[in-house]
Amino acid sequence: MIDDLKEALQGLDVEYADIRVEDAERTVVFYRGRELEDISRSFDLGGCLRAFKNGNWAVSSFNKTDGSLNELARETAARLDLLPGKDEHLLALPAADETIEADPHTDPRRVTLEQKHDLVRRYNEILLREPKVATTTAVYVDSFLKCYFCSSEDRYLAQEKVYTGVALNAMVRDGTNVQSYGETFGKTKGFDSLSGLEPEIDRIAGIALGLLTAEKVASGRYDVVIDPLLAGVFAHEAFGHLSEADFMYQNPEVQALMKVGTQYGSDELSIVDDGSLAGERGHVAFDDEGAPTQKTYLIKHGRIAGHLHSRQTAAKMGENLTGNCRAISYRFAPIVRMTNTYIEPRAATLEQMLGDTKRGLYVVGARGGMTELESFTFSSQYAWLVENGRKTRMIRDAVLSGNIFDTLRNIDAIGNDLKLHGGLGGCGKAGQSPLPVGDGGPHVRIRNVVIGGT
Amino acid sequence: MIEEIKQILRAAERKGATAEAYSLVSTTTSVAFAANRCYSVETVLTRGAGLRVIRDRRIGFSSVTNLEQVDDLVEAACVTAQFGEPAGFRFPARGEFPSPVIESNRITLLPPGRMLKVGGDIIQLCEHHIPGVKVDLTMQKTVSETQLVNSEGLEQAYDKTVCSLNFEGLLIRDSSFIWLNDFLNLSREFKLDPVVFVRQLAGLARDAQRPAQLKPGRYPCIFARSAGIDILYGLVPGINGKNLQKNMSPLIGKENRKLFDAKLTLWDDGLADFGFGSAPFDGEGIPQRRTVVIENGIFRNFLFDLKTAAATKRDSTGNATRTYRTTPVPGLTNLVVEPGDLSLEQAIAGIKEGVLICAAVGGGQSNLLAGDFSVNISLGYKIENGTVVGRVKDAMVAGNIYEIGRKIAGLGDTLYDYGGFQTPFLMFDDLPIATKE
Repeated sequence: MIDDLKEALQGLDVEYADIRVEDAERTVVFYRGRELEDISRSFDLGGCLRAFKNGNWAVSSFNKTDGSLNELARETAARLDLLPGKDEHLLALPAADETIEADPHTDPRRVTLEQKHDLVRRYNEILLREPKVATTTAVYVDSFLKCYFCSSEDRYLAQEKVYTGVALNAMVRDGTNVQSYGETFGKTKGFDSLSGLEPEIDRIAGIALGLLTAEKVASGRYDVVIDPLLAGVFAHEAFGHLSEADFMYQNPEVQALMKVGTQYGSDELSIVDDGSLAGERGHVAFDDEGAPTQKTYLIKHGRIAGHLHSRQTAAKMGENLTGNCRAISYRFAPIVRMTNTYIEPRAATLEQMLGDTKRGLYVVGARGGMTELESFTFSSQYAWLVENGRKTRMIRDAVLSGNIFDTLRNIDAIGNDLKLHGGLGGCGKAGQSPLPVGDGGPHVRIRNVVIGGT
Repeated sequence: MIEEIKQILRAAERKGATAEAYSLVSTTTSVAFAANRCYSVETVLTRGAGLRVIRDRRIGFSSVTNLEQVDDLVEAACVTAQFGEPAGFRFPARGEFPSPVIESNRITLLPPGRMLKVGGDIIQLCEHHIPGVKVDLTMQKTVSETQLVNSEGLEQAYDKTVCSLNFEGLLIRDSSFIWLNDFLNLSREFKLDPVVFVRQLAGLARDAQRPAQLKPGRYPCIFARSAGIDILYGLVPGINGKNLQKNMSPLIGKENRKLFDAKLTLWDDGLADFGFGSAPFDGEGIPQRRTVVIENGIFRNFLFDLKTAAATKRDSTGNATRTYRTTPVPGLTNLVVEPGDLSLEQAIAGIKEGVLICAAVGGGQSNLLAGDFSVNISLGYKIENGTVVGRVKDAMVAGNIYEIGRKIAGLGDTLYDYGGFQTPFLMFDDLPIATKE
């Protein structure tokens, strides 16, 4: 395989070129209520070829593998002559030849379809057992990818990627009161990591039922303890996207806000993106332009510490590569993305944080939300009222909003219980969704958050 | 290619299955500008086949991009059929098919250099007329061939061309975002006047830089441009035959009842000239058609594929949507709302105090199935005494399409063509707007 790719890139009249090839197998099992809506397997082989010259890209993605790759490379490179040039360059990487194989224990291709079907059917049945559950969705997805990368720098990389996950959702009904709650599980640890989730699935049905009788939140300002799930969404959505250099370098306003060294939080606050964390949903050894992934501090001890880069943005901003240029598949050219993004843990315990909260909310998960530069709005999955240090009543429809930088400053306690979340979802950007990412954090307390209802 | 998918079909039949093989071959060419600069020229060359089998009366599915993997494909489809749902339908036999206009040689032959030129002109005009704007612009064209064969003898194919422009402009003013978005379906012919196009966006940008105060309350609202789709989208789950089958649609048992304002007539038009969803036949070989969904306010029809039609004892309406990688499910072809008689200027002139909403973003937080919508007004303007006076920020509008649809104050006289959606602006007398005070 690598030899064909090498040959295609030889002698092109460009500054840089690369080819990625992906050979993927996927399985989907999807129940809605008691009906099996979809059970299917797919085989997807294709590639993406990029050429760079005079500050411009020409890209061809393809899965017609019968034609000549050499011809395609030449046609693609020739199109660069159509484009007006500009003085932009790319960061180079050294020659390499490396192969990274997946651990065979994680390979979902070694598991029968019967076992996969049985797993998701069993989890679905747990949800359906509860009489007030009107319907469910239960989805299993796995994929096994062999990825090959070859660049004009004589950089050859082969890596295998494995994803397995389930997503379970229960919709409950009591008369006209309809509520739903769901969770998703799974990382890059293979099929076995999805077994034994029965207690979690039981909890999903319980929370959905709880929402039927939960009170609507009363709007106002609260001290808020957020759970690791919401801490992750916060780190990723409200802050992480601002750290992506492709958006930043086009917008001086954002560059000014995200200048390295600017203080936005206490000495305790650090936010990290780390694609090298094996087993996590956002783990890859190399990004989709061949750069090794690494641990990058976005905030360290309260100050802006770094940005996320592609070869192009790093060159443009005079910073180092971080291994954050990623694509959802060979159908797309890679762009700057996050990997595993989280708030670093510190010493506080959840009990302490709740214990010295007089009147506040304990808020779990995020249903959706939006961010616009500094301002964010997240609707939670559910919440508990905290009165005199104790969780008292379940609350629904709590929406958190505010200014990200004010909110970072108002973090006054960071827990010791870091959890990274994966699951079947992912990040969406520029029409590429879902990209596998992980996010998380410990429990975190934020003072004085504006809470509205929906 | 048709010979190749016939081979797949025969291989599945040899395994004792009746089968359907679908293939798509397409080439997409696009030019992209990022932050006002030319960024890339891209092509996407796609080929793939999907195989649906009915074996021992159960459905299985698999897909492949490398057609040398026929054995894997057939094996996988047959294995999944061991677990699949019972098939309540048969694949359709040969039939008569309509010939919608969905192909233009001028688009097939359109060179990337021409797209580049027009894109460059638009950006140059934007820099002049909307100072400070950062534009991401993509122009793209797709030329495709779709083929379908099945064990009942069906053997059909069609060619199609699609061309579009996607514009995303961003102005940052006082740390808030002003998004200026537009989308044009250029499939009919590659004809657009950059001056007219940019003038319209410049008008939106100019008015957006004057802040206007709006107290929370109930106001007349106009949903123009893409915001019209955001509101109508609340009807989409309800009219889907899948949600009739699942007993989840609010429209169950309400066919032929007047549920909406008599001004509202809405089609699922599978044959619209150059519609993104137009084709001679749907994803499983049923002829596409024009289906009236709402006629003068009266709800007429759900939309079905073969599976949901069989489960609800109806006929397919030719609404099976799919790619080669997915099994068919009922979906829209092109949603077309019949225009009314108001010009936007007239509508604005008639409002004493109200809101013109040009773009909205939903949080995905409301109960879509019930028709609820709750959206942030991302580009909206306050109207005072018949004139647009400035931008409304941090405002939300919420409601239920089945409730507000009973009384529509007016419909625009021209359609915004977003390819798969064609809608005029919609005006309502009295909707609740929440704002940050």
